[in-house]
Amino acid sequence: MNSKEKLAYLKKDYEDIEIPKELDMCIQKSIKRGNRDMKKNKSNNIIITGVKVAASLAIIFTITVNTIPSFANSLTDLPVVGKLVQVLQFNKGDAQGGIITDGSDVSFISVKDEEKSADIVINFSKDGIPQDFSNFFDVKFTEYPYTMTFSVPGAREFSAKEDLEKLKESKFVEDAYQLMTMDDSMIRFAVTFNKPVTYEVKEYKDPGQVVVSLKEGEEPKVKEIYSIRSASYPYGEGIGMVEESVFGLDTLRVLKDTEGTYVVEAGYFNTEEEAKVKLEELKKDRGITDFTIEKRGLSDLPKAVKASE
Amino acid sequence: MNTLAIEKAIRGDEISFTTIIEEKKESLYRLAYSYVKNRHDALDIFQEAVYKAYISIHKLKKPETFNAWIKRIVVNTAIDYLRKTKKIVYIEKEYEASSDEMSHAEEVMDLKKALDELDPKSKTIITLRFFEDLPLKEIAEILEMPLSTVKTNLYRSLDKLKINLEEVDKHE
Repeated sequence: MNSKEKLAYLKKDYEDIEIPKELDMCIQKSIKRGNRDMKKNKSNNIIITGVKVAASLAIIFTITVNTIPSFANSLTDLPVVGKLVQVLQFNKGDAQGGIITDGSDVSFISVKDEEKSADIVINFSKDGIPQDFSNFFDVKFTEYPYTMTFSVPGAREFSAKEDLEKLKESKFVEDAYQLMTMDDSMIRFAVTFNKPVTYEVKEYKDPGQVVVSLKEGEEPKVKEIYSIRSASYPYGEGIGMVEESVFGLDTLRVLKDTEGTYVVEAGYFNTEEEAKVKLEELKKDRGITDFTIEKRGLSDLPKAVKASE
Repeated sequence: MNTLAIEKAIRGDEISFTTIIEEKKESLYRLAYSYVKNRHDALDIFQEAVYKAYISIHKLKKPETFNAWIKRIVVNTAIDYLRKTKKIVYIEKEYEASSDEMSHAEEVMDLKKALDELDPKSKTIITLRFFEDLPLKEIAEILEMPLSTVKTNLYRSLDKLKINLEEVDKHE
């Protein structure tokens, strides 16, 4: 059977997808829900129609805050205004919090250093105004090098992108950068630390904020690990597609390498044997061909490795 | 395209909105279904997408872009849905071809599984191109991607799916 015939079969399957009788009722339900939500937000409707005014105010506010360093830091001098929702419980360095939503903006990130600790505060907005609750987020802490990977599904904008540079002013932070995400409705960024850290992550509401509190931690006993990593790619769809090829692995992460390009890591292990076994498994299950094993120390970045095309 | 009804819907006319959605409801539902392969989830996605369309159609500036716009909402809602419910798109291969000659049914199954294993964006491009017969230019508009990226993605997918382009009609 040639390709044309195979595709024709699949197309017929597609066209044969049965249309449920409830579809019309579905449409009406959606309209009802829309009417209800638009009425509930009648005060917000003023914002919707006056969006130009609100947006320009938000821009002025953001520019002011971001261009006056002392002002930005002084915001975190204030006691956290919002209400504590939870202190996140971590499972294997991973935790989630917040409420699922869509169309948000990760609007503003600040860092404040104390003598032996630092606080990173992440803020969310929607349609130009601070969101009452924290967006659903996933935060993951890993080592070799020490990294915090922050994912916000449901965020489509990243006004805080410029703040990432300023995070490097903290004595804990080595680098902070956005991670390329193929999904348009997710924002991700990573912060690498230059020393071992212990962390506590708190979620707040009214307004929604996430506060990452860092303290210096102990060096782990294992000084080197073996990492399964891809070749290096510049920021863009290239690295995105490599990441998709190992989608679903919960030890997956994306890191910047020694030359500022990006690397996908499938996982890291204490021994080379364990890494080899897992690499063979991945080659068999996913058909990946250009991942290799790299030895790295506590704070080492992956080396830049050219992709063989 | 019923431009008059679209314009009325943009201005908030509920009945016109229902009309223009009804016209496309089957194609939108099938598109949603292609991501999740079951009626319950497909209806969830469809309902969410229609809701999102209803509350934001007043922002639609050009009525002639309605078709691409509503498809984009369905695609984005479906991909979000997959992420939120962490539905793994991959299907485990449960069998191995016992001989070199596969039966026709097995060949089609193979292609079907390979298609399901594609990442959501690539699968969307294949679905819109070969099952909805949309030109690449419109697909680029729907996904808000440059045409060149859509092409590259399509050829890469065809390679992964082992589809021989010469055997398939290509009309751009």
